[in-house]
Amino acid sequence: MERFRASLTIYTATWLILVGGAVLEAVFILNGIARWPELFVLGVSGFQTSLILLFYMHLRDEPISVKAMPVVTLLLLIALLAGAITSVLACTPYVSG
Amino acid sequence: MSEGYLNQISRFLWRWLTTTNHKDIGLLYIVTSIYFFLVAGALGMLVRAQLTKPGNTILVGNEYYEAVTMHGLFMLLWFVSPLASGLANYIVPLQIGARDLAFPRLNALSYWLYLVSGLIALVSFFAPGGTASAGWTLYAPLTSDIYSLGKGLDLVGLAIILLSASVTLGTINFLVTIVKMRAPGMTWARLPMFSWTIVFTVLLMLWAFPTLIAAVFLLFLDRNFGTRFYESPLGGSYLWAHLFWFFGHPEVYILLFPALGIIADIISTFSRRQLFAKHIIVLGLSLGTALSFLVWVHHMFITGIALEIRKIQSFTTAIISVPFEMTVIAMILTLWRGRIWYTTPMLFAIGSIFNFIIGGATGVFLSSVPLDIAFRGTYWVVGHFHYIVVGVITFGLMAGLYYWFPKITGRMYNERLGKIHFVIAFASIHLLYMPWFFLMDMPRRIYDYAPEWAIMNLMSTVGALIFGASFLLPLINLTYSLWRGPRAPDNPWNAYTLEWLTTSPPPTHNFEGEPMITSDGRVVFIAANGGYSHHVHVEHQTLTPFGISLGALLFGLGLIYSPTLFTIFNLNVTLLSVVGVIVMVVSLLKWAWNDLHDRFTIPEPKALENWPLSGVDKVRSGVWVFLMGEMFLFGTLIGTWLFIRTRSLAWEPGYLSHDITIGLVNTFILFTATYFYLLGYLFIRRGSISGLILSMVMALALLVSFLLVKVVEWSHLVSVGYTLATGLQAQLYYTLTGLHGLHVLLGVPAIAYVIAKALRGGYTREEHKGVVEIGLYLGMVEMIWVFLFPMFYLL
Repeated sequence: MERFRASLTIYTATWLILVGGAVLEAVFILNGIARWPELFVLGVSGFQTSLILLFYMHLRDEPISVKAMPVVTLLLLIALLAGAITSVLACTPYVSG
Repeated sequence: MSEGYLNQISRFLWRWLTTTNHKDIGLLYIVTSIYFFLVAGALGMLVRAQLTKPGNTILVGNEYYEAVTMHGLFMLLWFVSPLASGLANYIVPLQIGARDLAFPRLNALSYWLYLVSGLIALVSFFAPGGTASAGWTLYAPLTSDIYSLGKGLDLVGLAIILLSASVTLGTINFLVTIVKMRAPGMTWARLPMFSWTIVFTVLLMLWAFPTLIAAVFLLFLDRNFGTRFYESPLGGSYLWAHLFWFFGHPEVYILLFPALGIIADIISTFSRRQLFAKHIIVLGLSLGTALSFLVWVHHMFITGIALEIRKIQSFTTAIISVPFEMTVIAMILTLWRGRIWYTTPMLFAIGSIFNFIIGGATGVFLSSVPLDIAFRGTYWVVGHFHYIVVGVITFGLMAGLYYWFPKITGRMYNERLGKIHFVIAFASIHLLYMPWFFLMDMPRRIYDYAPEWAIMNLMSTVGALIFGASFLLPLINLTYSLWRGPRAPDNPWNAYTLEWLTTSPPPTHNFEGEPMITSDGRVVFIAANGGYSHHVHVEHQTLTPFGISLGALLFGLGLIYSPTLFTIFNLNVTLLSVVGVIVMVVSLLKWAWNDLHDRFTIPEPKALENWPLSGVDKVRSGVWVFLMGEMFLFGTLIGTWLFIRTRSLAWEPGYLSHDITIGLVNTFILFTATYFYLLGYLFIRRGSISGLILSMVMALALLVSFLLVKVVEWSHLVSVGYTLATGLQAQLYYTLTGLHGLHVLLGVPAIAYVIAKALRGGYTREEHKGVVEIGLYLGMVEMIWVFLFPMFYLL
């Protein structure tokens, strides 16, 4: 039961991040907060895609995971981080499209 | 006709229509590809006959262009790769010590789709307006409905899409088989070169063919649904060239690699030496695989593409020759000081290396931008790629046919006739193709020419006649030997690889006992574990792959040969097409029905060294591979969007033309559908069937809601005049969201299947195969939407 709850929490958190990300993406574009919209959506999409892939490949105790692929995992983590940083930077004056 | 005779015929038909055994499928591939070789060869002969002297009128105008186009397409798509597939089907499982391919039914489906695609391409000759005539590269705008009238090109397009589907299925099968089903001790380092090259070939197929599918799909829409992707003034013809050559250049290596693998194995066997620097060759081929996706622009140097891009791709094109030079040198060094046995396969292998040096060297010229501009539209290029495709690849495949003939048939061929075949073929090929390098100023694809080119063309035609006639020898030799040749021993060549350690021909289940390679490289056979037997294969005969393909054939024929029921845009929906779709759907349902009742189960291979898919069962591995291909399909279409978007000055932001609320609602629905699906997975892992069913019903309802919202949205857009005629923005929107919607739609029966299986008690806490795999598919659908939503609603 403990494991079920823990997994449920991870699933729900991932779902919330994805849905929340989409809503924020729309709000930021519509209100002009994203100064470079193309770069911003690329960052958000990259973040969401990496998150989904990491979710499927490395769920806690899940047999779904493609094991023994540390390089791919590392790349996905880098993509996740890069997506997050890119989308934030695209909303700052430092990178104005 | 006696009843016994009829029974024999029906038994024969039933056996071959329903077989799923890899050796049977391999034989079917080999025989069918040889048939298409004869078709393509006959077309090539007609072309050469026309070019014998200036002013000939054997084939002129569009007839000539049709012959040239279909000669190229049949040779490349329906002969060379399928012959390699046939050999790989037969040999690879034997070489790695497996009982069969990972997915025998998919393997049968691959073959039948291949056959049907070839038949549809053949039928296109008889379509009103003729068949495709735009050249094998199908350059835009020659393929538009202005320059290519009639339905022939549409049939060829359909044939290419079906063939690509067949290739994709084969890709999944071979990758999973080689990764997951190698015998104990068959490490990656010990994998024979032929199997290694099949790994690289299918990886290339996996990444290249989705681009071809996407490109031809857009062409189909242009010709039948009024879109204008390839006729757009915003670089429509560039777009085709980019998409086609992103597929087209890797395709060269898809054709080449299996032949190189065969040559490497043969040279090692008949030199009595281990292949020199095998690990360097493998490294070289992996580099070649990666680099092959970075050189496509050299086919577009004359299109006026940016100089910076030309410089970069000139460099990558020059360096892609390095891995192949390394391979050739390693093969020559293997021959050096070897105790060479000049058999027919060895002669073809050595001839192939010789031709590779000529074909490769003339290709390096084309990496130079100025030289490429001079040579691109001339017979120099034609000579270069014919040396590669015929001189190297066809020679390599012929070597393979001779080499494995004793293993496949259990009979020896006539060695003297084989050697005569080699001598004639080797001499005539130079007479056929060498003059083309001296025709470096003669434009290609012309049916009449200036008198100063007459001598070279005459020499070439004489060479073609001799070369073509030389193939009568193997036809006679191998056919006769099949019935009357001396019995072949198990290992007539004293070869090193595993396929020679079983009988000739091998038994249905390949080996008596389980092969295992010990740490010192010896092969031992341990008693069979009972997991496989001859009877398993008999039970696994199925008509469904044939049924699905037959449906596709009827659908294709229906496009031109049937009364029209109704018309959508320019596409006639006919009675025969509808029947075809029904046959396909019924066959698919039968397939699912068999699965639902566990009627086609194959024991999972033992968990061995199978990086990078350790711990993942073979079905799930196959789904991962399939999804990689799907990513390339959508990646190509998203790339198309980017290509058009960056060229358009009048692009209206998405939120001005589309209702962003609808987009957000659908995003929420799709994410939540996947969430519920995964909840179902969590429930079944707890053993809760009711939880699984409830979650699946929710997921199903949400997917249907997604589609309904899409229908409402499309209806509204059409009602306010936002149609395919509105422009490229609308065409991209309908195409991409439509294709994505089709993927969502396919998720509906998939979830319904899970529900049906759960209801009949097919899942338990421990055993719930299929649930995760469909979940992965939905994850992919979700990921694509992550890109489509901002592309069409926000930007």
